[in-house]
Amino acid sequence: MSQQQGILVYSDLPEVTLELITLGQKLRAGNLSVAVIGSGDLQDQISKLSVDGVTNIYKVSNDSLSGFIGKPMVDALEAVCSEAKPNVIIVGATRRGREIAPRLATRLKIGCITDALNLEMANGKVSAERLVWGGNALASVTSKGATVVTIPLHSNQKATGSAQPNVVEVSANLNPSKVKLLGKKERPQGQVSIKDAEIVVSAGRGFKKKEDLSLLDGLVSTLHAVMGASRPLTSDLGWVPEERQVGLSGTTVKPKLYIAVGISGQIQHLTGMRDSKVVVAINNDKNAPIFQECDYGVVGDLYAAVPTLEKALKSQLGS
Amino acid sequence: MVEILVCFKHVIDETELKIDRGNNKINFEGAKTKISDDDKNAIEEAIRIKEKNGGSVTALCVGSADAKKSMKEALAMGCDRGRLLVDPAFQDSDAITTASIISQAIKKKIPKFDLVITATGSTDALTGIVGPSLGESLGIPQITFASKIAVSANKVTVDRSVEEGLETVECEFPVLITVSREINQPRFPTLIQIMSAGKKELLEWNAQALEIDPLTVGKQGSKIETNALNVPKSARKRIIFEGKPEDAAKQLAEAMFKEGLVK
Ligand SMILES: Cc1cc2nc3c(=O)[nH]c(=O)nc-3n(C[C@H](O)[C@H](O)[C@H](O)COP(=O)(O)OP(=O)(O)OC[C@H]3O[C@@H](n4cnc5c(N)ncnc54)[C@H](O)[C@@H]3O)c2cc1C
Ligand SMILES: Nc1ncnc2c1ncn2[C@@H]1O[C@H](COP(=O)(O)O)[C@@H](O)[C@H]1O
Repeated sequence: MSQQQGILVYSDLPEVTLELITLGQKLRAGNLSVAVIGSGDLQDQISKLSVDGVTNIYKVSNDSLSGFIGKPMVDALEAVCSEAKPNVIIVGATRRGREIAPRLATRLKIGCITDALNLEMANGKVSAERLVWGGNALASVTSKGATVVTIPLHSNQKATGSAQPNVVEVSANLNPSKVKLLGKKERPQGQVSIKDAEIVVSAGRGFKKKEDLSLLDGLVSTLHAVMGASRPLTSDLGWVPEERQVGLSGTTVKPKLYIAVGISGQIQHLTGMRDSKVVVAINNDKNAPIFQECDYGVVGDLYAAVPTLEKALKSQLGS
Repeated sequence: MVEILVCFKHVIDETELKIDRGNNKINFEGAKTKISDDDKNAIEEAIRIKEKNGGSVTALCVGSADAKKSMKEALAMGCDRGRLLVDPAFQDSDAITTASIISQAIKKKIPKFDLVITATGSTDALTGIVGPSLGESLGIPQITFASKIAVSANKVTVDRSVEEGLETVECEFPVLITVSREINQPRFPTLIQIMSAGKKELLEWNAQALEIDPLTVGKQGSKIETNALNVPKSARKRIIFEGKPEDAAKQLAEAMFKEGLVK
């Protein structure tokens, strides 16, 4: 694999592809190509992704791609890579992306870096940082030659503008997957997504039971905030829907104000809110790591502090 | 009867790591080791499937000699036999290379199986690569992020979570499944189980036994190199209010106003 150059970006969610395009532009590493994979004419996606900086769109359309099953997606991406010959393939870290990126790298016999932070390219080497050891450490990793990389969701702005990229139709030999999709239950979508919120108030394991989360309602409405949560409250306990999870395996948020209530501040959580402008923490453990990562903190019982904070803010606001 | 292979990683317990904020480094001294957290869910799921459907569970681990300890724990939980893939040549393998070692062991030594189970990510490296890469190397179908597995006759029905919701998929054996931690609550082995684990078969296979060329594994066989380990830095103000929670909360409210955060 010698004349590899340029960047190919792909996500199964077009909104995420736009974020990856922004990252691709920043890397300035030759052609910026986008893979569009699915069934039908895919014209909607192609026009949506014809934004500033995109030089080529590689399109694979096939009926077996309609269910977003791993195998044909990998087949299709493999076919695109043999046309586009990218040096770096950037995949959005959706669940599907996390599956297809290692599969693609294994097939192409190239390296794979998942959840890459601070991605850089120089002299044919790809380097990045990633969280390891339960998130307590950042490792610097490098890959020689071509690499597949996954990028945490919402860690870049969406690309805008418009361009007239070459649209290249790639014909791929797709074998139907042995994995059959039987059914699908859509997750109900919330009104405001946390990733675009200006103020986020997040709850953590400091809350003793689900009902107690209503303690935050007043604060959330006073601040016109959106509620987020740490992982124990979403996937472990099921108190809060998963799309509100902030962190490494949830969403990256960049609000003006982030308030962490009863959250210890493990690095996987911090990764998802590190770019917040101002961070406020309420925690009864003086030594909680969140106090190293906040601008303002209250050491104390959240059950006492939250209602008082709400009252004090309301009285200052005169409401 | 289901023949199940379950993969786990033997890792340093990250809760035991000491962080030296002075030089921004991590101190590994005296840290204990364990089975990677979510791999216990993988092991638990394998055992539950066996208990319900009959068959056997073989535990696989690429690790150091010290990993024997974790292997014994896996056997105590209920795996029937352990296979430790251990060789100095395997050290510093990246995730894809680790998957290739496991794949080679399965192809050479355990070619007849129905189900391979891994977790979605390990607690130390967190790459999430080994499962999908292993499925690809074995050339079998795979289902990732499983939150529920049901086995019937020669197939599995699996619930998996994706961004837009929950998918239910089905696949005939053989298939590789990566499981999420919410799939179950791992058991604690009883004292009797711990004691009888010593009698279960635990084999060690090295590069030669697996016919692996040492040049294709370890640092030289890997594409990804890990260089430095650092503690993430922060440049926050760290203005902390203590005392009575009510007073501290009031001070916080004032500070938030002064910063213009509340309108
Ligand atoms: C691969 C991987 C991915 C992960 N991804 C994520 C992710 O995306 N997002 C995420 O959040 N986590 C994630 N985690 C989990 C993460 O490591 C932590 O376990 C999690 O963030 C801890 O959540 P917490 O702070 O709410 O709970 P805890 O760590 O249990 O902290 C609870 C805090 O509440 C405080 N507290 C208790 N009672 C009170 C009270 N009455 N008043 C005030 N404070 C109180 C305690 O002092 C403590 O600091 C991930 C982990 C792994 C291994
Ligand atoms: N050294 C190893 N030996 C056996 N299984 C492993 C090893 N490393 C990773 N795995 C499996 O692959 C999963 C994902 O690991 P990782 O790619 O490191 O995040 C783990 O949860 C294990 O089930």
